[in-house]
Amino acid sequence: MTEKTPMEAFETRLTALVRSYTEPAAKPTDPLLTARTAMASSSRGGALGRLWPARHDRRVAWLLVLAALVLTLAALAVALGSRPSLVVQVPDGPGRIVFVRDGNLYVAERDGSGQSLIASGDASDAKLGYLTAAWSPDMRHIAAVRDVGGAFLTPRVDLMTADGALVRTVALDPGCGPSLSWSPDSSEVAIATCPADVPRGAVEPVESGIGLLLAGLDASADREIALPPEWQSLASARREVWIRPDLWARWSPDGRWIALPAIVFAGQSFGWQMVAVDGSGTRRVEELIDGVGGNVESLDWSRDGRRLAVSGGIGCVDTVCLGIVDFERGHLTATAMHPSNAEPNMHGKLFWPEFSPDGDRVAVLGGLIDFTLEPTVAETYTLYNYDPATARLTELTSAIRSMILDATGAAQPTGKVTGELVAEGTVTWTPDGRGLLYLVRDAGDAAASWTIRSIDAAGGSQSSVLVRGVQSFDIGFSH
Amino acid sequence: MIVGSAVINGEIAGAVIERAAAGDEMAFARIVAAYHEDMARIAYLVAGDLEVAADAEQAAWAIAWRRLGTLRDPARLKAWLMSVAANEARQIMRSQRRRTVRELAVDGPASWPDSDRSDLIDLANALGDLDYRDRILIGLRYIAELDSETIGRELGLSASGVRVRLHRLLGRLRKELGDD
Repeated sequence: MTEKTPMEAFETRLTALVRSYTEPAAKPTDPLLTARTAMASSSRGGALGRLWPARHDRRVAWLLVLAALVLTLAALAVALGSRPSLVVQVPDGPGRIVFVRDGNLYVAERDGSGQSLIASGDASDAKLGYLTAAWSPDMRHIAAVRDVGGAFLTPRVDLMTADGALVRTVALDPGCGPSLSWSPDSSEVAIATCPADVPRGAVEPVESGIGLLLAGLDASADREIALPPEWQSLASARREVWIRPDLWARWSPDGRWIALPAIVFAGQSFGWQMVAVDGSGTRRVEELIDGVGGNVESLDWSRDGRRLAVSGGIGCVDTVCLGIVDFERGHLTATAMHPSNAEPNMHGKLFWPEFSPDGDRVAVLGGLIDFTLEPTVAETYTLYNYDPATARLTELTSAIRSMILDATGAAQPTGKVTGELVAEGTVTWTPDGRGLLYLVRDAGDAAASWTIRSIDAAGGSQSSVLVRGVQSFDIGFSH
Repeated sequence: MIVGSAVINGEIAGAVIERAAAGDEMAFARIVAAYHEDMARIAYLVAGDLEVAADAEQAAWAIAWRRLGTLRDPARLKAWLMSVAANEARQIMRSQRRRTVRELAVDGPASWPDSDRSDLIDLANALGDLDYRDRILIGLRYIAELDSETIGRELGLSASGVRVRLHRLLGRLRKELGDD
């Protein structure tokens, strides 16, 4: 028999001490009486029962006082003809869409009407033209990535006014279509690059380094942030990797950080990194979250910059779940798993979270692989609206993709899709927080263009088509 | 009245949960019988106050009664009930603006065994210095005897995160209790 380590011996002692310590609380009770009291004190489904549980008079009283205070303030604000001031600045404009079609740049109203061409990308067999575009937060400018031709995919970034007048061009080395993220004050744009020789039309990604350039509207302010040389990325010519401009670089609302994913070969896997904008260093996102393991696979900032929505193994085991993180304190405050994850032969995950403008909800994609009918495998993609306050996931739209397991056990798509297959990483809230916009592939599983669709965030309704035949889009939030 | 516990291998039978969720008073009482003691202990560990612990436990049963039907996995019942009791204790403490468990008498309750009294007072002081989340963690591990994975699910942590936090906590308590 092996001897206990000092820590194991202490655990045994602690267990005994904790039981002795709590012994005064362990009084015998009449289970039936306790059960009846509980049942009588909280009627199921009754609002009053939920609001007024037994022995909580003081808490409820405070809640009521608080609610009355809020109502009074709101009424006062309405009476004065002004909106109550909010901590989070929620945009109140309708928003405008910028999108790429056939390598050219267009803008449209939030409902898809009033489409107008603002810049031609001169796409041809030798160059792809415009790839993505991003509104500046103040909606005065657009940053757009354009492939300008050459032996390999060669991007440059055009900074232009909202009506397409070119302000300046940032030339880049050959590589993937870079990710764009504007600074919160709209003065500069972060350009995350993956320089490499990538043939146009290549299906397989190419290993590359990662670069991070901060470019202002005036070239004199340009600066490069040095990243650890061991950081790697995968440069790809597949259009899926640039269907959204900020797919893999996101500037924090407080302006201090740029979050981007990197493969760190020094014994670590792919993960999201936080890069200090002042050049003072980098941190893995997981290091900024207290006491949790796992890996962050995708993330989004709340508009006030105080929280992160993360997808990955944060707060869950052997699955990919959604976590809400208090970024200032580094605490995980809520987690959600795919609702069907616990069912046998099902593997569910939640990924690509997106905070609503007011930060109260998170749009998230759910993927559920059903292995019960192997070798045929069905993968259900669902767009959810998650409410951290009630831990409720509301299903908005879904699609089933049919796949078949090959000899190696890998699932290969058969090309058969039923329903709306929401493209990963493309879900965006409308400025009023009532709707969501996303891309759905136009036809089949391999088409190179998508449709922008819109759906009510409350659920229970069909989506509507906004713009067809696009390659990428962004919606601007006018203030 | 004596109510059978219906605990099988440490877990309450799923059929009992189903009946309780459907409104069967006796089935719900069986669940109370099975888990009342550990819930009361955990609530006391978090609050350090017998009255608060009793209130928290009763409030937790009221919540359990309301939400039992939403429990998808019967195997989670014990962990869920313990977490609800711990959180209710925390909520009541917060509403009463009691931040620590320092309101214990200097010599502790009369029911403490004299042989351990000195250690228990040290433990009470050490607990008083801990964050409430750490007290909940100790309760879930050393009273409810839940494993790291189960605790992680309840607290929104990974199993390894729970293990790391527990390890640090044990190191700290060893010092406070003069074990190192």
